[in-house]
Amino acid sequence: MDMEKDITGQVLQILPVAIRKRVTEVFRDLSDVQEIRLRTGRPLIIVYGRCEYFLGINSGLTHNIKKAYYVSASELREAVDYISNYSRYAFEEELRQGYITIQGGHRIGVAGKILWENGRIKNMGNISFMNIRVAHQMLGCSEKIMPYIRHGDSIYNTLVISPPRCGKTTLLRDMIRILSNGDSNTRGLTVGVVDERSELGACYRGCPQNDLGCRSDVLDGCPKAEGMMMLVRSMSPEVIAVDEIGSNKDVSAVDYVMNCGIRVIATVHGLDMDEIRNKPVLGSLVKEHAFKRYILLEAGKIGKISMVFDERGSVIYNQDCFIQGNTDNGVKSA
Amino acid sequence: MVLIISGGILSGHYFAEKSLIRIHILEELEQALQFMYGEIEYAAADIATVFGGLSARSSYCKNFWLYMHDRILENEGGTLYSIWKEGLSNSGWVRYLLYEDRLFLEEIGKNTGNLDRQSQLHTLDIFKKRLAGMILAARSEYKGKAKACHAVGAAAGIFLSILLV
Repeated sequence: MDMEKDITGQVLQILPVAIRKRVTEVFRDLSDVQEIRLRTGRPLIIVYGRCEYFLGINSGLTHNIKKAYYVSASELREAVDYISNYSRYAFEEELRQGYITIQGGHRIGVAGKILWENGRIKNMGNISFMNIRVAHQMLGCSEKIMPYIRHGDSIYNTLVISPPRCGKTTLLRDMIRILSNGDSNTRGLTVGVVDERSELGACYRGCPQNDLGCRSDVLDGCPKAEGMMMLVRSMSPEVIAVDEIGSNKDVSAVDYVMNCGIRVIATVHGLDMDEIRNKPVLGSLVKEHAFKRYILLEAGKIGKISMVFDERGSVIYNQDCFIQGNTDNGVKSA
Repeated sequence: MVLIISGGILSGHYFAEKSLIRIHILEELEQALQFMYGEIEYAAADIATVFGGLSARSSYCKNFWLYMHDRILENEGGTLYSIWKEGLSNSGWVRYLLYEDRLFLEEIGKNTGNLDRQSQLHTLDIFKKRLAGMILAARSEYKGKAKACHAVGAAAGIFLSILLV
């Protein structure tokens, strides 16, 4: 209940006052809302229970665009002020990336006029589009596969393979939490997390808003390769977790970390084992059996663990097992 | 008669002190601008955090910074400039400032928060330089002004007592 109140408060606080009033009339709590989309001169859209609605001009939600509430430019400016705490200068880097993480780990995607200089994005102005994505952590979604990656007091080097939007980051986040906390049978491990895009920890002012366990150290907004090297030197982790590896530098850093005797859990975009094996850079690590476990998520089905393979490619787990856990507000969801 | 003359001298002293307080406030604002610059440059702190830090460091403007900090975190509408102006109009210390000082202060509010980092730092730099010039001028004027205030106060007291006699 407190968590629901927190989510509601955190999201409402960044909405323009006029919109906030209307949304409060419709929703007592926003924990089941997935997205709120604001576009200048366009109707306000709320994604709730996986369905899309317009916020009604009078009250309630509607599917009728003629009865929808339209967002004005000043309201969008107001929202930007709230999200940035009236400090555009402090969020330049985030604006360059296209999103700002707020308290509670909710991510605000923004789009507008890009200022391009010397082949890179310098800043973003005239923000006219905003997508407020309400964070829902799925606690316990990796519990079923944990026995397959544990190895005595430590773990196997593990690679999570999945197409985009199939739940690999959610799975990795929960694996980090479980490894870091430990349980009655296994001790907790010191986990270094390199969170380049603030997706794992969703850090706000340096503090992870998602539960990553009590023995996790998070390098927020740091490039993966440099971050892994830094963690090895500075935080003496037993496990390093990193999301979406792929470049030459990332793979070299993973190799270096493994050679230092530190275990690695990573994720990568891919459809199956063959695709990963044939990747020009990562493929070499796979062929050298650097990773001992591969967790494959099924394409097109959010959160479905298809199989777990060992280093030789033999299937060691093959059950229809959806990533199912407790959302942080205690509601079971898939 | 002694009381009237002392009253005149004291009122002269009050006006001299007012000028001195103005200098102290301007000096405090100079420190505040320097603090803001440092926090933005080295800590990339948001403006609410900066104002919170200033409220702990200031004496004359303490309540103003606290008001700014609280109002910003409320997210209850208005631009930073409108909140800034409200804060200034509620602040007692502003009465010690000249009209030009108040305009200058409003200008700071108008150009804070909504700029990119480079422009924000550059703007603060310009404000710091202008404020340093204002303080220098106020200090150089102060001695003569204080003497004049004391002299006019004493003379007014004597003149009043002669009139009464």
